[in-house]
Amino acid sequence: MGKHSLLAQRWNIIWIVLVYAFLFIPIVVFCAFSFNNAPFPSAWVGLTTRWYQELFSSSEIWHALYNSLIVSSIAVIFSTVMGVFFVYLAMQGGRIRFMLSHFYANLVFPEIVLAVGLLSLFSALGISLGMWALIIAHTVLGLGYVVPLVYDRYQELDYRLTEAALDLGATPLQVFTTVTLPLLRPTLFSAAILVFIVSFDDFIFAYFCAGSTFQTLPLYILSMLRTGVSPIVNALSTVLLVFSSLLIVGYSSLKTKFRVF
Amino acid sequence: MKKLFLPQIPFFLGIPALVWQVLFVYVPLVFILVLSVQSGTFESFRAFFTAEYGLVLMRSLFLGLSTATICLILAYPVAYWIALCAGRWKNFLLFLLFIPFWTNFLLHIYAWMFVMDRNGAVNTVLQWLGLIQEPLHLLHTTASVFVVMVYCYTPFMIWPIYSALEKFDVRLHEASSDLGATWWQTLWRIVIPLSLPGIRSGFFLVLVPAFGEFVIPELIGGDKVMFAGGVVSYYTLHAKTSSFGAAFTIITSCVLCLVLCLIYLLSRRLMRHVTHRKV
Amino acid sequence: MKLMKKKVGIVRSLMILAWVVIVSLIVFASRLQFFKPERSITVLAWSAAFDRAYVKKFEKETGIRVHLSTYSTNEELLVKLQSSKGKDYDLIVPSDYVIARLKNEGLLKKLDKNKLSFLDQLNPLLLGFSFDPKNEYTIPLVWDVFCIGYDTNKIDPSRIVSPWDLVFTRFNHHAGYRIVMTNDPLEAISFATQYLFGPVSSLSPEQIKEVESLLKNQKAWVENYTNLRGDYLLGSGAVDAAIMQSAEIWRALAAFKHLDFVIPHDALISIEHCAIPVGSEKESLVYEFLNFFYTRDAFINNYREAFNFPARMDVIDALPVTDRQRAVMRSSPEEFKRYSFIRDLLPERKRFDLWVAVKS
Repeated sequence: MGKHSLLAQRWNIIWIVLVYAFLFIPIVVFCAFSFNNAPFPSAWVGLTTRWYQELFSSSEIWHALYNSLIVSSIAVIFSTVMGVFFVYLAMQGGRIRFMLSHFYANLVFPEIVLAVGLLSLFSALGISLGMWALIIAHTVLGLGYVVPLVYDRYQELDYRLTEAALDLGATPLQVFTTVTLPLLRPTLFSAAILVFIVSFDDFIFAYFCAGSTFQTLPLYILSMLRTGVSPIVNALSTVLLVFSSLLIVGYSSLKTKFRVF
Repeated sequence: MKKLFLPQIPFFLGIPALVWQVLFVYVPLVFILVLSVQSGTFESFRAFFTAEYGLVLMRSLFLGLSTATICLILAYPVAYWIALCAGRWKNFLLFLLFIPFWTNFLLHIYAWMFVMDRNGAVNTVLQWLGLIQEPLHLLHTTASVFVVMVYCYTPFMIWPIYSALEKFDVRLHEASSDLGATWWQTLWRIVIPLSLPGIRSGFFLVLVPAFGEFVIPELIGGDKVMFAGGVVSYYTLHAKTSSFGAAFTIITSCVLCLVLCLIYLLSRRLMRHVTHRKV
Repeated sequence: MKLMKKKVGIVRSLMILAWVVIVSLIVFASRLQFFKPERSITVLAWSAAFDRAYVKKFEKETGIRVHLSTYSTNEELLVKLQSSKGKDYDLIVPSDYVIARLKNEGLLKKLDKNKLSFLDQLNPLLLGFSFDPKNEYTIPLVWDVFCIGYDTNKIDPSRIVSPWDLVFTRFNHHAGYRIVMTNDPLEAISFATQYLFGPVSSLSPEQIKEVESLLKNQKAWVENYTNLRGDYLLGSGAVDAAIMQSAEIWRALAAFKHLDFVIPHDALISIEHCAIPVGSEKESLVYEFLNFFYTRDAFINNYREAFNFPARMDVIDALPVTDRQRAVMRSSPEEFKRYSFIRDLLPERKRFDLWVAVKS
């Protein structure tokens, strides 16, 4: 990069360290204090695991977690399956190929607008808010991630492989299942993990579409935040952080290029 | 019959995604439009053309734009370094970045509530060091809202800029320094202009959600100021006033759309202007 | 060739239609309740009315399944009942000010008092109000007084002349004075009106402007607008005073020893009642539910979880509170006469417009 860039590099390193510190210190602090033996934020009192014990014995949290897992899993399945078949259809050519760009809109519109729209629609049609309403919303979100990702990867595929398969007498559907799909598998897995995390953490759609009886984990966290700081939330946050990190490790180990824009 | 249906199987399998999109994205949007124009009048729109609601929109806009700008200033050097200088640290730094990016938004807010609390980490450390006598009043201020907004959205800004800079051809940098440009000149005349598309997508990626943000001002700011997202959520969650909620949603979307178009056109002019200068 | 294209077009349209039908089935399937057992009731209440663990206890002991729905505002309850014509719910827990409307619209069913075993235990002060003079449709469950809690380290109680001053003036006359104010526009407007004009039933435009400017001025010393976090903010020393429901104040008093409270003599109260919507067909199950939740143990548990003032008199002696708190929970008739209900003085939209103006 040249000698004159060395000074800039040193200055840059300081900036990076500061920014990363800014990003991480709050997380480190609240994880550390999840072991603090005080019911409110205060100086370090003593080591304890009682907040974790209270966390794991709370049935409400498990119920919310269960709900979140169900919604996210179903949304992932719906959006990945629908998304991959749609990209396949689009790549056959014709007018449908131009419809791919529709799905970019899902990430461009503010979530709050989409959520309000769905809420209005559901209320007017008499569809009760709750688990399925949320699954529908999260599938919309998921499609916005799956279609661009799969489309990107699809284009990079070597078309000669599919042509060879066709030449050997396979029907287009057989080509899809035996050649294309296995090649797309890493992308599908990484897209699935991505959609899962986005859906699991989403709270705007849940806030509007989950109704008053269905509670997901983010909604539960929100209600706890509204009532005040409590070390149980620290414990919950630490657990979720570890969980997300493991998922990230899984995602990056698939070594696929992540490109949304 | 078989000849007719069999070739259409790909269509049958592939079309549900589009059906889903139409039913659950476009129909709701049309629905909001229809709902807002209740009984054929624009009364629900007129109700919002007052000074207070205008102020609410302006404030949300200001919050979104300033958050995006501050995020840009924080994020650009980081993205630059990771993309161009990091070498073997690149993957590790990216991994570190993923963690705040993919943990629950609300947990970030909670982390700061915990840290900035009257008896939280910042105050206890400062008091322990003897720098202050009384705890600082950190939470429920405008400044704290900005801090947390920037904290939550900076990773969204780093990512697209990093993607854009990753494609940057390092030889251009070498060529420019060979021609006598300083590092600073190269940065402003070559690197930044070429990464403008990434900057723009990052800006949008932050501006759009930050504009509609209502949770952070509520929890961190003490809910002392009304933002656009708060108005929308209040009106839509109270069923009697749903047409007003729809109307205000449309007004906010239009305002946001307008601002986005302005920024887009501005960025295009900037890119064209800069490309001409290079030649 | 054209015929072929036409045929393909028709087939494709049929396929799209098929998918629309399938999706609609999934979506509307959530509406069908296939497995709604006969022995079940649907309850619509606010979140702290019935403790979920205790509800589970009820389910286990009686075998009646309870679907507990929550509402966040009474308007929401009204709309839900109006749109379903009183059929979707078997038991509702409305606040006092909507009961008149519910009754007038014929949405409530008369209660069979013979089926309720606890009526003579109820606090007589909570009965016989104008919206239901003979309590034919509603019975009180829990109630609240809006008190002002304060930090005894920061405020000298002997200096308090009128408790409202703690909220609507900068009591300690220094820039660091901070309070917690309610985040509900209905309550805020009621407080401001009571402070300025007393128990009026409607507001003239000039009065509305006065209320607005009072609330706007108040913002300067409001630390946080919240209904839920007041107890923590008061206890941790972040604020000097807080105006909150008595349930929250009682919770704060139980957790922090350096706090105390005052009640304005013309304080505002809110009484939550139980009522049966007109379309319910499961009254016998509802009466079982009511008899279960109006027992001494149920109220003691309710207090332990939510710190609500019980409607049952004999419970009060068993609660872990100070004598002064006990006196408030029992309340003498003279004190009670001076209290007023929270009223909706402004139509909902105007109310919210005012709130937006205050917070701008």
